[in-house]
Amino acid sequence: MNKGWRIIGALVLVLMLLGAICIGVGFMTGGDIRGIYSTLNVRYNLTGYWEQYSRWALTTVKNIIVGVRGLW
Amino acid sequence: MGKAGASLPGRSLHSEVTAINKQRFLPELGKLLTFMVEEDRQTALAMYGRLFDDAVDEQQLMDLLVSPTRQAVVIARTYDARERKQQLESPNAEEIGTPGFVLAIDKIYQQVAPSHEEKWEAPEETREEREVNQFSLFEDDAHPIDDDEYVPFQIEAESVPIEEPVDQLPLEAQASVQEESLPHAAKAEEIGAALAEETEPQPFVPAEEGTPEGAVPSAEALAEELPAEESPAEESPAEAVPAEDPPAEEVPAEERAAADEAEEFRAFDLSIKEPEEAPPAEKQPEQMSFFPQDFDPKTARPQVSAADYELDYLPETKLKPKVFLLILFTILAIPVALVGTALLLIPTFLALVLAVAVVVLGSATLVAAFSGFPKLADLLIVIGISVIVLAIGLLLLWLFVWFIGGAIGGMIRGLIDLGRKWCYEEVPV
Repeated sequence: MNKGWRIIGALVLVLMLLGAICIGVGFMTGGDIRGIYSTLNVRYNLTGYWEQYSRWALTTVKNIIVGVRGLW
Repeated sequence: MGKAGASLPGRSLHSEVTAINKQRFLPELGKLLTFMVEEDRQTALAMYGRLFDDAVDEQQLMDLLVSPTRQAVVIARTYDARERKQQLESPNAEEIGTPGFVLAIDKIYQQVAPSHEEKWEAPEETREEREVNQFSLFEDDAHPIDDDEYVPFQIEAESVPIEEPVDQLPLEAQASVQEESLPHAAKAEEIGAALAEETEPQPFVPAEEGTPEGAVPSAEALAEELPAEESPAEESPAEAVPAEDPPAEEVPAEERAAADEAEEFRAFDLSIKEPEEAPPAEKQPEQMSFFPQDFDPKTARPQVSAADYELDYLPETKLKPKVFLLILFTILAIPVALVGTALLLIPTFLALVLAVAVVVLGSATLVAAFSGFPKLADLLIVIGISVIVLAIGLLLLWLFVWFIGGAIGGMIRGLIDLGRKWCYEEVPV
């Protein structure tokens, strides 16, 4: 198990370092978060998914609160 | 070698039996002692090898040893590998007393070779005498030496005490041996001094297949490996060592012959030692000696506890359950194990769900990165984010595996060990 932790830890560290380097290089060469979001939104409809999830979460929380009050 | 066997048939037979047992015993013991630190393992094996070499009574030795497994158990009871490793790595390693396993083997040695203490107190002197006398030991009228069979230096004669053959010879023959040894004594001392560095201490040489004596290949076998022009027969003592005192102008020639002989033996020694190829765990020759260099049996003995001395005679034991405690423990342990497992399953499955979600998210992000970003900079950012997300997913996956195998399995194993410790006792069979 200890050996497994060491291997996985090293792998995760390397991957994170690699990802950080990619992000850093992307920002330094003119990357833009808004541009990325708009591109993904056009392709995957992220705003629609987000609104749908928000509505579902709000309804669920309301129902839980009503249920708890009914128990009291 | 051949002469030794011819003149001492009883001893030769004893040596062969010992070698056979040694060849079977030591490898098996070596496999069983893998729990030891490598240095200690080599020391223990060398000590057992010496036991076989020096044992007066073969049957008594085998009765004492019983089996390799038995000896491995004896050593295991005196040995804590972790503690020993820490001792060896500590800066005060020199101040540590003699290890318990050395003393345990020494106790056997004391029984099978009672002359051990005398030999230990003066090992250098004994070795020198042996090397000097090897040149004249069998070189008497009763046992003339053939050129073909003559071996200038008995590599393997270590296990044969020098006093025994001379004592066993008739009185005239003894006198003859002593007379003949005198002219060669100076020569032998020269060669002995020249070879001192190579021959002391004798390294441990692994057994070769087909080698009858086991640990060290015979000098005859070594001699056969030589080219014809370097054969020891050509440098028989009749040529290399003159029977009478040489004239003054011949002394350099004799010295040259001695130097050649020394060089030849150095070549022999190197051919069987293979020290250059060995990894630099280089304390091996020292480890191969029977005891550490600072070992003194008289001072070391008081460090042995009574338990160490009784190890050899401990009866076979078995675990006997304490039934009431065992039932009680089982009744308590099963609910504890179930509750503990249930509690640990919650974070386990949480880790699994999170890991799956994160890995799916990371994979989706990575796929999305190659789906129409106009700028390379944006592509790099998305790839970077996806790689980080995948790394987190990998970590969560491993966490799940650790919960299953490490936490839950460890808890169950711990409970079982606890039950064995509390509910069983060792009783003699």
